[in-house]
Amino acid sequence: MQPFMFRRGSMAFVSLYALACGGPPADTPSAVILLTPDTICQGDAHRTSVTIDGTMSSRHLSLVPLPPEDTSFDPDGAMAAPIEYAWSLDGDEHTITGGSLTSSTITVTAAGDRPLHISLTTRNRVGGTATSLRTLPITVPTTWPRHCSSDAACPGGACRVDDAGGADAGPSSGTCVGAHCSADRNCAPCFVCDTTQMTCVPRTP
Amino acid sequence: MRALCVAIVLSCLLPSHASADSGAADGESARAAALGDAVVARAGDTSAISFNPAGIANIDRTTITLLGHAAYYHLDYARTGERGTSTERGIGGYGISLVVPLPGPEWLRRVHIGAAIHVPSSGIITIDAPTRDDLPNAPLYEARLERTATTFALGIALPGNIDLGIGLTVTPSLLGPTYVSYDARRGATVDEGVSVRLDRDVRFGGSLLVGARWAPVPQFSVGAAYRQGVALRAAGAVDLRAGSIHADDPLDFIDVFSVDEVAIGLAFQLAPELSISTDMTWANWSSFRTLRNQVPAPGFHDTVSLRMGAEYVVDRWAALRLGYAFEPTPVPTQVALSSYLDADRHVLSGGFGLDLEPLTHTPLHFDLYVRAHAVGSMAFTKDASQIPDAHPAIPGQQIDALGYPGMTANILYFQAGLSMTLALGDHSTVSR
Repeated sequence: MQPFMFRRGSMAFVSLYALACGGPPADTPSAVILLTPDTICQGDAHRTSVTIDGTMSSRHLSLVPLPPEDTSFDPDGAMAAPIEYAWSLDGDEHTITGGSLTSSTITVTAAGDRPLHISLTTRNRVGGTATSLRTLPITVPTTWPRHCSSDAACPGGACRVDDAGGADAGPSSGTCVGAHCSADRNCAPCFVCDTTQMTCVPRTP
Repeated sequence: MRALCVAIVLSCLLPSHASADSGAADGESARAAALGDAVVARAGDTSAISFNPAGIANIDRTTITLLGHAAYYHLDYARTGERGTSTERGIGGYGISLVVPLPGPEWLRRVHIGAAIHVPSSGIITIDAPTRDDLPNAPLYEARLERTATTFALGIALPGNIDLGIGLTVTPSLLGPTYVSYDARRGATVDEGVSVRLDRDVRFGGSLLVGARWAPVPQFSVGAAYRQGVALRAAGAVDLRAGSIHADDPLDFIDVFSVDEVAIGLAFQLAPELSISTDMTWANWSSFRTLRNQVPAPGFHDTVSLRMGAEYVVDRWAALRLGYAFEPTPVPTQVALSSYLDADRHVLSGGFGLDLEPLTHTPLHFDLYVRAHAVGSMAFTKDASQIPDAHPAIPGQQIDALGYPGMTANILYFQAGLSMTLALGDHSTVSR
């Protein structure tokens, strides 16, 4: 299905545009969501505290970022008025451990059963609003393949090629091994340190 | 930044919040809607312009039909185990259809021309680009674009009660060199210091209609029609200049309004006052493309739908109509990233026709219809292995799909419409 196309003059478009365009957008703020960390592990069970930061939002949407502390541009006093925040969280079961749904920054913990969808609506002094949606994904630990040929095949670990196999062993003769560790902090997110082997292994929910 | 550019472009194209079309086919009369659109083999009104252009060869005097449609759409959806979300909206459209038998000698009187224009109640073209591809939406309802369309048709009445017809549906697309330029400066608002320039021209897409109808005896007729699909595009380039930053970002969206269809129909005059008709329609939904002109994953599949209609003439001036259609969904189970919400539907319709000509000798006709789409409940569970990794650089699979781990949804859709038909001039007859 590909309808054929033909051309018409510009007058048709001028009329079309005049009918279709509703004018420039109203004075709006921006809504910026920052997440730290930007993922949690599947089955996190409220162990990780996630900071949800909206302070990079600005009172006026601009193609040039306005840092929150910037007060050099203030033609109407709007910069002096605080921006209003309204957060909405849905998806994963969560607990707000810091801040509230109207504060600029909140901290949460989540079950890690599914992604947490975070919506921020900001409102400036003149009533303009902006809404952003950002998702805190869950990380499902990857199961390592039986054989590997490069480190890329072993997320969170490394591919160790056994020389004993020789050239006949083929390009996938290696095995995935975890990075050397002494504690969980030495491992990639969602990997834990197996202290008996002193290597990182995928964390099981 | 690109999202901002897209938002500005689209905000200009959207004078109000995006709303779907009225759900009525181009030039669809209240009579056709009440008959479940089982009209491929039925002649008799201007709906033939769009359903089977051969049917206009059977309209024996100049006929003008004014159409008005309104619909109510309600969607409930919820992720598994979560509180649900509802959206609803009222939508509408209107149009006018005209069929004229040419005057002159008999060979010319066999030729009929027709035109129908369909106009949404708001907007000219709407292509609503969601910020995320996995946003749950109903592709056959809310995601259908709002657009103006005009159909031109030509029908010829041949001896042997054979009618042939051809038509062309024309829809505008913002295709080609449509430029948007930004000259960004630090200003109080986003529109201050930003110039948006949409110029050059618009292109029109043409979709072909071909049909035939044969009535070997007055009590029976058979018809067939091919209707090419309609897809609209919004394409161009964003030339972004903000200080020392210069980015040339292409935009190219496609919105599939309808797909290629082949329909065959039968109509029977069971008694002087009772007629029935049935249509079977194959629709090439496997050609469906997402807004970014990609094959959805998993892809849609073709469908075969069944339509039936019955008309009972109560008196010379009044007719009752009933219609039914079964439309299997083209949307497969949504196990991957996307969350297209759709299910098999049963469409029930009914209507009433009032002909003033026998009563007042005024050739005026009113038709009314109501139609309800009973869309089955839908439920699906995502398969994590089919959801793309949101951040491949991070060890492990990052899942951020809006529909994960699964969804349930329900759709309600009601339509109503009125058409007024005025006939002009004398009856034009030809030997059949």
